[in-house]
Amino acid sequence: MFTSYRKIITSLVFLHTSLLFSTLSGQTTAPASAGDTSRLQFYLDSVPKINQTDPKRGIALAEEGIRLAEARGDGHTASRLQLYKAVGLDIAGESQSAIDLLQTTKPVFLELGDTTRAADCDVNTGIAYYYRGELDQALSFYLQAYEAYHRIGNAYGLSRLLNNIGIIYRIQDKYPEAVEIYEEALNIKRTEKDSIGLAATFQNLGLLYSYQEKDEQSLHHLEEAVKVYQQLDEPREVASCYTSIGDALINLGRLPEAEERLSTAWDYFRNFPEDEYYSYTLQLLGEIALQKSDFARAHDYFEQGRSGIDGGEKKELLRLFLEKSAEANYGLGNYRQAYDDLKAAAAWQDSLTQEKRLELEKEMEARFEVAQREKDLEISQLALAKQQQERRYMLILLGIAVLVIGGVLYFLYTKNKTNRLLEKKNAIIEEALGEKELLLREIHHRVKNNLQFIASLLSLQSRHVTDDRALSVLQQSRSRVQSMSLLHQDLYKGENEVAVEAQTYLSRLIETIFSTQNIREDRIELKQEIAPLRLDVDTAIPLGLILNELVCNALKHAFSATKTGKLSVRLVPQEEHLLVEVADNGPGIAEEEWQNTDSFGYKLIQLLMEKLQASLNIYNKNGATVQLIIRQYQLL
Amino acid sequence: MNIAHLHILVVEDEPVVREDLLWNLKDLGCRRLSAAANAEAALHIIDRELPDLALIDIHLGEGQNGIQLARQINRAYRIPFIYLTAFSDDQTLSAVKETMPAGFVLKPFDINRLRAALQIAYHNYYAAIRHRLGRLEDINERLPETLTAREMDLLRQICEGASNKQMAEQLFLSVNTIKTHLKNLYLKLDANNRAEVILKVQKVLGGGY
Repeated sequence: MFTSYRKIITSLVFLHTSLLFSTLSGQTTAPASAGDTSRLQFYLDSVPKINQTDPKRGIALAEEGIRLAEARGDGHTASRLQLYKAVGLDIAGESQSAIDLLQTTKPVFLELGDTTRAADCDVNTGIAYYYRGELDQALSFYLQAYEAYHRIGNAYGLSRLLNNIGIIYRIQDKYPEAVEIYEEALNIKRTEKDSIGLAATFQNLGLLYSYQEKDEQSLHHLEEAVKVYQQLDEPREVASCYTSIGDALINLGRLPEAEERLSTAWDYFRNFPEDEYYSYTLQLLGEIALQKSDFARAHDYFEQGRSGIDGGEKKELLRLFLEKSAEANYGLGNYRQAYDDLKAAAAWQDSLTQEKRLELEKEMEARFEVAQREKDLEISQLALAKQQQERRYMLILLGIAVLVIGGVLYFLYTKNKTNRLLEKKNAIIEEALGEKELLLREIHHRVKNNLQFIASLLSLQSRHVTDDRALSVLQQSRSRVQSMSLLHQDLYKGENEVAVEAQTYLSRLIETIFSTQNIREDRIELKQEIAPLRLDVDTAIPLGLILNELVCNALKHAFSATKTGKLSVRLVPQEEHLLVEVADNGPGIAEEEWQNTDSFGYKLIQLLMEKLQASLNIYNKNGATVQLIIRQYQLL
Repeated sequence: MNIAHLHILVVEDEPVVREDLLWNLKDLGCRRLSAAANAEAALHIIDRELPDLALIDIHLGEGQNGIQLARQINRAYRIPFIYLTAFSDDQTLSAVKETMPAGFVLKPFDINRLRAALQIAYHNYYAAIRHRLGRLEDINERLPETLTAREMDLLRQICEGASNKQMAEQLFLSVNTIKTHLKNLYLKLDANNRAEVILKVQKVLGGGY
């Protein structure tokens, strides 16, 4: 029961950053005669002080100073004055403007390398939030500043800040955290020899322990606080500590000691009915009287304590007094009075309950709203997430599309490039081929022209020869040239310039021989059996010449001018060689005779056979059959 | 078919080959022969003598080649011609075809093949003319001076490629009479020889051969 009202009536000693500044000195206007430097110094000195009493004037002065500092290009001083102006705004009740200004000034300090004042900005932001009741916000800024102070080793700022943090923990009922904070603050203040701070911290710790019903520890810290306060001659704080000590002693059952301390406290507070400790002290004195069964005195104390309370914010306290008063009246036998007190207490209780319920309802409502808002938020977040996901899909699709299109374009590009390259190469190749063709054509043309020239030469010469043998030689030579040129006619007609069609070539050759020998077709029955072979030039030329000799020879020797003869020419591929056969139905050939006669034809055949690795056989049966077996040949 | 009476022009730039050709043609019985080493000289002879047939080498050294010469012949003279050439590639052949030659003989030539080509060319040429003889009567409608029946007979014979002697035998006339009729025919047709007569007939009847 005690704990609850102790908490209600007790506020911790709050240390505003304004404590950082020394007390106000009289001067409130800038010295007109002084230089800019001293004028700025004046603003820096006076604004924080004036803020405490007349924040509007403090703000105006700060703005004046800021203009001057900026005109002089003194950014640091301007920022310091911005910080003071913000404190002024906060005190004047414009907390949001103060917060905004502080948070815009903070980065300027950081840029200027003034980490301490950047942290001061956070501390003052925290204070502004604290006054607005936004404790979590305040705490987060305090903690930021706490880290900064720690880093730069600003013990003084740190100790003050810890105090403020402790208050928030206390309000949030986070006692262990608060104790921890105050213990840390205590250490700093000891080393800093900050007596007033030390005392305040001792007191706060004492109160914190009392909230946790750790009365021994509470007592110890409060006694420490009293010592310091006494040294510093702070009577109000000494008195308030005595009240708290009294409370702890009552809890410990040490009533005489408690009464002694409370009486001392009461000696001070009896003169300050507005002080919250006034009622608190009376309450405790009444409690002692009750326990001593001195109901009359108790009643007096309670009555006195109650008189200063007018409900409102102190309903809980009033209810407590009424309850205690009822107890006293009961002890005194004033049952009626006691009843009335209890009734009143109950009424206040109801009112309180009602308030609490309303508060609860409000809270519930708020929670509901928060939940609703969270739900809405969740929904909108989900919607957003969905939207983002859709956008992601779109982007992925777009990406894929871009990749595909890019790929296709690249493919087309490279294909086109390759095509163009190929076209170019083809053109070059075609050009080269065309040139080669032209050259080949020219060469063949010349070869044939030359052959024509030789043939004409032989022909013309033969017209001036009277000797028959010589004439025959010239005609045979012409025939051989003709035979070779026939090959060239076929050789360069189409694309297979290196291959010679055996059928075409050989039959034309025989036809030509018949024609030049003036053989009428009805005189000799010609039988050809030529396989459809494609001969290599190197095979075709000697083969053609040999055949030329054999056919000419047959026509010359085998047939008389009157007799009808038969001639058969065969070219047949056999297993590993080519068989050439020229057969006639003449009187036959004696090989030795043919060899021995000074025949150039036979010698030529021998020479050409060498090239073809051929062998010659002559059979005489129903005429002469000359067989040539060619081993070295090439077919295409 | 006898080609001996034909007036043949040989166009060949290589003197040895040209000489050999002329000798070979003489061997075939031809007596009216002309020779040119290039297109310019050939055109000069054609313009002056209007031979019955030309043997043309495609490669003619300086100046126009044989194909260009053939085009000029086709444009202005319409006498049949035979290419005698070492070219036998497809490209040359297709260029040659456009000029519609009466024949094509490859070098080195063989005299028998040349003779055959000459005979075929001459035959085809006059065959085309004979084909039009049925319409020969129409010629009088287009000539300033009409031909007599005898002159028309002579004209037919000329188109058959007959010699004066052959005509005389065919028409039971003396050679001298034939000559007289021919003179009249030449006058009426404004021609100097048989080739010009045929040319004139072609022109009057219209179209090629």
